[in-house]
Amino acid sequence: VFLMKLQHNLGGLENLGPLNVEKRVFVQPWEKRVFGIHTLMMGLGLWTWTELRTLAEGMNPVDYIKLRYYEKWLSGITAFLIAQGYITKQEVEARTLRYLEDPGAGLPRQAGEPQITERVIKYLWDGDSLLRQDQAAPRFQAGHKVRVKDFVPSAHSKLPGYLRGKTGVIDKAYDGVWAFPAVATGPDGIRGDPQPIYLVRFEPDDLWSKRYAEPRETIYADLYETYLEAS
Amino acid sequence: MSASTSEHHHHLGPEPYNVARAKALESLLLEKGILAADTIDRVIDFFEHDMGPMNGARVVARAWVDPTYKARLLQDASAAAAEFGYHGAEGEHMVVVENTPKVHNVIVCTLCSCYPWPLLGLPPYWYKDPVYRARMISEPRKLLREFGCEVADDVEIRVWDSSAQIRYMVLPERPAGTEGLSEEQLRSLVTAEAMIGVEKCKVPAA
Repeated sequence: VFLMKLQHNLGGLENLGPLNVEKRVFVQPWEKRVFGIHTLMMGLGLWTWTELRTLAEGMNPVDYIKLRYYEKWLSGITAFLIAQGYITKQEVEARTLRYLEDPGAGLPRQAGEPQITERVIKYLWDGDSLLRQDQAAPRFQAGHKVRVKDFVPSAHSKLPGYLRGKTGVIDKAYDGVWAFPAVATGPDGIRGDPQPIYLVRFEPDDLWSKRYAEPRETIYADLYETYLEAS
Repeated sequence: MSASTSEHHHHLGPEPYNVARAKALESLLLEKGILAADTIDRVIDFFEHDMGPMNGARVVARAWVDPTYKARLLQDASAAAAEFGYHGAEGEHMVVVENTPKVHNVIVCTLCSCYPWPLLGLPPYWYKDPVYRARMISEPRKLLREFGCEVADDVEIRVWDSSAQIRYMVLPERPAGTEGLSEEQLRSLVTAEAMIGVEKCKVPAA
């Protein structure tokens, strides 16, 4: 299978050069505002990680590499809010132009309902676990050899591309079953049904051959059952 | 998610455009009553005071001085973190992996930016950088050396690619020569980078 998205296949990509070790979380003040808006949307249930990821995975791959993390969020959040009808394209363009022409212009004075902020902070403390306590019947057990299926992933995937078609060993089956936060069904067969997740161990020799593998490295990945078959 | 809308404003450079676009979103959401005036400031304050790498440092220092706590942390990291009141989004299910003289652990999310928020807060830019995500999988020893983190050839490197529902943190090795330090002093030696596995904890030169 040759169709692929760069966003699913960063692991092992060559020639990217040295890493810029930027230790800050935000490098521009506006990035904090965008992160705040994202957290608002999570806390109010306006969107989920799946929707954010689907947009990021659907980006032009060159833009994906070139744009800064929060630049991607900014365009993704804008596109989502427009698509869902929370704002219109016309009003966001007009408002952007106004702030470009008058960068000192302030924000509206609306205070908003205080419970909005309380809900958002509550979400940060509570989280959103996808673990479902249903009785799990995992197909694989620790020590089983498995092969990662090779297929064209759907619009949002939790399978790192460098593992497609590779063989590994189950290290453990996690307790319970886990919802898969899919927005759309895809050829990977994920329909949002809760399913087991496994910790799977891979040897670099099996991923990119002895010639390229560094010595004494082990790779661990958490994989949904739907991605695995017996080897 | 295209950059095409910003192309109209390229003569201004991307940053003024980003500033204006972010402000436009904030102002429209305020006007429509979706966003409250203090929400964003409260969220940012939360990550400065309630969820940040100081939480992880506290857990690590406790594990260094209290073997029974360390055992609980390695057995069930979420429960051990909750003993300090650390829990919540992006840390609903956490696992801590221990560095030893024979094993060096390092965390990556090749698909995006999975990170254990209740213990470490939000990820730094380098962690989200495609360069880190690409190279940590295929050449960890080389990339760690660029961080100034030498891992001897006879030490196994375990790379944890967290893309499902578990969020990982590294328990770094306690540096030699710290026997006389208090738990609070030990905390100050523990960086976010050490708890992801790209640094070792060091005693600062006197």
